[in-house]
Amino acid sequence: MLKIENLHAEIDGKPILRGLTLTIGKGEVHAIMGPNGSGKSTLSYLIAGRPGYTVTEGSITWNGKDLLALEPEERAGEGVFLAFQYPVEIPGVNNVYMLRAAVNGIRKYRGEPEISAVDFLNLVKTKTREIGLKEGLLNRPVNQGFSGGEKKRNEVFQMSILEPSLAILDETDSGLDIDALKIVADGVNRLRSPDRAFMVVTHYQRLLDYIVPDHVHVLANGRIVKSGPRELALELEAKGYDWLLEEAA
Amino acid sequence: MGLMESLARDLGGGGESGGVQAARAAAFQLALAQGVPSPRHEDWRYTDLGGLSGQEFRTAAAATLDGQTLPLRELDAWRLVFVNGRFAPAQSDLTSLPPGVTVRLLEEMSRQDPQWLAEHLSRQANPDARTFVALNAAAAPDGLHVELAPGTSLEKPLLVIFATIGVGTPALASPHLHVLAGRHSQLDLIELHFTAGQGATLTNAHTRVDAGDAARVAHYRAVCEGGEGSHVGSVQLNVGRDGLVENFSLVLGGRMVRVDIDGYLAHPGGELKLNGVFVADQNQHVDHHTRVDHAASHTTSDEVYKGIADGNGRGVFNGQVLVREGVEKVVATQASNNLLLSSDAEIDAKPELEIYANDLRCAHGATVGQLDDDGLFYLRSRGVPAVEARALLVYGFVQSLVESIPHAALQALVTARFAEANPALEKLLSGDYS
Repeated sequence: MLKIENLHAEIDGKPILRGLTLTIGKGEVHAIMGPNGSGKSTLSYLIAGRPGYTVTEGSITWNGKDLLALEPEERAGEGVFLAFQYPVEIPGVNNVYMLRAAVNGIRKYRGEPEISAVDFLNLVKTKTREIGLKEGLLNRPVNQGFSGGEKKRNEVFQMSILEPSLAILDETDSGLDIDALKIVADGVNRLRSPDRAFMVVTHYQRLLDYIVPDHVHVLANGRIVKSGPRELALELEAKGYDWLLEEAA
Repeated sequence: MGLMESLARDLGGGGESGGVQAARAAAFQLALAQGVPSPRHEDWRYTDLGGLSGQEFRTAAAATLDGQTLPLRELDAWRLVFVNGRFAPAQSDLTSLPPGVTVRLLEEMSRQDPQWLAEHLSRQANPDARTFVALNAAAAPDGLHVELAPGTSLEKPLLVIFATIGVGTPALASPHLHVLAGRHSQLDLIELHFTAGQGATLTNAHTRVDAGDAARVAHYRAVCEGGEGSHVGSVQLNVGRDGLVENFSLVLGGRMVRVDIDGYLAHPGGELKLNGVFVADQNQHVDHHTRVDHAASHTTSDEVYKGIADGNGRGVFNGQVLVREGVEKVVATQASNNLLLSSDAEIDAKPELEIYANDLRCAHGATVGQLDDDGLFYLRSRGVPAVEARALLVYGFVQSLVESIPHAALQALVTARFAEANPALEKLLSGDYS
């Protein structure tokens, strides 16, 4: 279970999150929606462990482990995965070699033996087909020269290989056409299981037609201002966020 | 007593003919008159040879080498090995070299055709020659002169290895390599320098490539001096009409390394490609000075250098491009990208353009940056341990240049150097998933 309690965080002295509380149980998919600048990406980064933020109050635990005390790679070892809103281009680092280093890094953290070359190659081939990633992209430098859609697909491809138990998707739908969106959603849905939790950050409800959430939360001014069932997303689509902000104020 | 004075005791005499002796004496006088450059020279601003020039260097005595320690053993090539500047036939292999290739050893020429050698040395130590080029002509006990007849194309690279063996006291080695590539000839030339033995050594190497019309020469030059080995290399590249000369300078080791690369585009249609990768860590100092002279119209130069400095390492890149007056249709591009990995490391990158013509396309850029924090976080968020993520990013910085080298053994030399600094790397790059 992901438990975020009264989380206050700032960057360069500027408060972004102001007392955010959220619980996501195993097997659940939660959507986080909200206007630009509400702190959605900050929340995603804080769970994954991006440096540069200061947590002034509160906690984040995953299965009882204090995530804030762990390095990013240790969090990955605990099953955390963040699909980036803007996947980073890494010149000179081959996609496949990066993935193997990731798989083995996580296995080492868990005290498991390294993956064999044959098993790894089979895994890569299977997932490449499933996600519809162009094979030519596998041996290219990570995300370099990828189109916007290819980058997002690559994120879901990596996620399906690493099989996280807590997956955070930060606006994975932005920049995708409807076909790519369906493939990405398929990749996520295939991973849905009673052992996995998903936090899907999105600006639009469109994605939630394909990844159907159990709960929808609205994040504004650094805290959750409204939570509800799936239908809340439709309401937001129709009415926008302003009524909620006024309500919260 | 400094470098020049102590060397003076070793030069001259020997069994050489009067003509050769005179040429060497003139070369030494030229070197002496110019003196050892100091940071007061604009060209040597960042590189202080004071620590070396104050030592009593003697010319390195003949030495032998255990074949086991030779680098690039796995490379399929014609191989010539020189130890302390002298030919080592036991380690060399020129079996079935095509008839269009003539190999001359300077030491042999001194007996067979001293007049040829005297002229050869005098040409090198011409009045424009810089100190170390002249000093090489004065002191090189032996050396290699290769001539490719017109139309000759070598299907394997020519590998020339220069080993400098330290003897405890400061020793100077003077490797010497000249290649004359005839019209329409083609050659991959790999030149490698390394140090073994004990004590301070200074390798003062001179390489000259004269490429004829439409000749294509790819020259890979690796400096892998180790320990207390320092290196001063002077490379002259002359491009023929419609010819292509590529130079790839890899500096992977050495206490103090200075490489001067001069490219002359004196004929229309000539193209010059200069690439370089260097690593300076611990207390290493690596200085590249390149000069491209566009003396003819319709000439092209393209230059990409990547440097990395870590620890107390210091890197220098100075890229001069000269486009002469009256010259047309010139394309000259230059990029120097550098990565600083520690707060005590330093890199100075400077493009230096002298343009006296109008009809040209010219682009240059120099950057000095640090490891990308976003990339580091991205990799770590995937589960890649920080040490490995760093190793991947550092190698990734030079990867595209290194993989443009068409010889796997040379690429392996570079990855081995990076793995030395980041032991995790070797495993990360192993296997083939393409």
